[in-house]
Amino acid sequence: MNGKPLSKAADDLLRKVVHGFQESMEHSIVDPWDLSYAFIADIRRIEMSSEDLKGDEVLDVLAMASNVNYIELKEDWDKLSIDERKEVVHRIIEAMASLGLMSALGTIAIYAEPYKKEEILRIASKYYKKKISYDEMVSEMEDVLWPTRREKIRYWKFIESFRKAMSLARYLPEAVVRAMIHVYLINMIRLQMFDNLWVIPSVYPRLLE
Amino acid sequence: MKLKPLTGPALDLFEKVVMGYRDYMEHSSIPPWVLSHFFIEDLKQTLEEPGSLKGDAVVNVLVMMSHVDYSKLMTDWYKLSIEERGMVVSRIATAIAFMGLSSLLGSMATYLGPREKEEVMRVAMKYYEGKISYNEMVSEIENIIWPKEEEKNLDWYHVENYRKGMSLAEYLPKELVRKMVGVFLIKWIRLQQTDSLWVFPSIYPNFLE
Repeated sequence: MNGKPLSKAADDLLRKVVHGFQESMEHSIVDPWDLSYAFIADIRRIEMSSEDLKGDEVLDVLAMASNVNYIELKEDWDKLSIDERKEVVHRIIEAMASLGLMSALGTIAIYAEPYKKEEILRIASKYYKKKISYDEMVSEMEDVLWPTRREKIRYWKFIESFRKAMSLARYLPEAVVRAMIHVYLINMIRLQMFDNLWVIPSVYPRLLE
Repeated sequence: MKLKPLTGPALDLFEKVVMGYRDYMEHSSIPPWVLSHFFIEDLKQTLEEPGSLKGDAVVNVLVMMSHVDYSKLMTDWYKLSIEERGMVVSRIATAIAFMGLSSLLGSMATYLGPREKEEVMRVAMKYYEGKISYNEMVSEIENIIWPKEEEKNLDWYHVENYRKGMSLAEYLPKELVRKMVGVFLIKWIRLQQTDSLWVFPSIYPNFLE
């Protein structure tokens, strides 16, 4: 994901939006993957429209996503060529997708019941070894998390959220997605298997605060 | 490396305390590694008192750390032999040490600056490969985060907390600590290197809530 170097204005814009998004994600009552999904969908809709990136419609979405002042973002935005804007927006989408997907994977590694974690580890290993595709892995995991038809009906809202979260992978390079699966669904679950009742913490407060 | 599974009232007590502790830890304003250190010290001191496992002194500490009702824990406690009580308490201390240390390692991998993260990863690799001891790694990382004596003096509170957090390793098997360092300080940091922004989520809300 380390693409070509960005100009100063492009890099400033990228950092402001991504770090702002990360910060607001931490304080939002909406789950990180739902936030990522919603903002990416908004950005993509504007990108595809006739307005595309020539105007500043997308800045409204970026300001909302990052909680950074619109004017502050516009100062950087106005300095960018259309190609640079495309590149920055692409990098923002990747970062948002990355944060949302990692949070969802971590959540599964933390909260799934112990026997489900073992099953998920087995499925993730099949994907990691390229024995099944990403979509097959997602579908198999869904059946592990909500195995019966009754559960699927009852927990439809969570299933929808799970599907949205896992679909964020489409905005990321395959190698990165594989590395994420390896860390969260293989390494982290394996770490908890020392005692199958253990749980990885879900909070990581700032060290120096 | 798997531990013998707990059963019956021992399992019930373990689950109540550990899950209760996790919930408490998630909502506490005190960092998880400081909380874990505090309660393990408290448990240790209580266990040093003669006949501590015969009465309810240990249960009082377990109530404080889990916020589970005293009578609920006592119901399980009464059903256990003195030997079983000792075993469960030791398993609880290990689980709590695991959570505290994981959170501290994860926090460093999430919040340090990119340069510090790279340095920390380099030191962690030396430990992982058996080139330096755990204590040497702890000391080298401390010097990365607080490079000057002046900084250490000024920020003594965080330095103390860092030392307390890292000392939780003494309650865990060496091989497990090595694996934890491998996951949090090597794999988590490496995952962030795919992006120049080093973005990484710090929250993992419960998927199924």
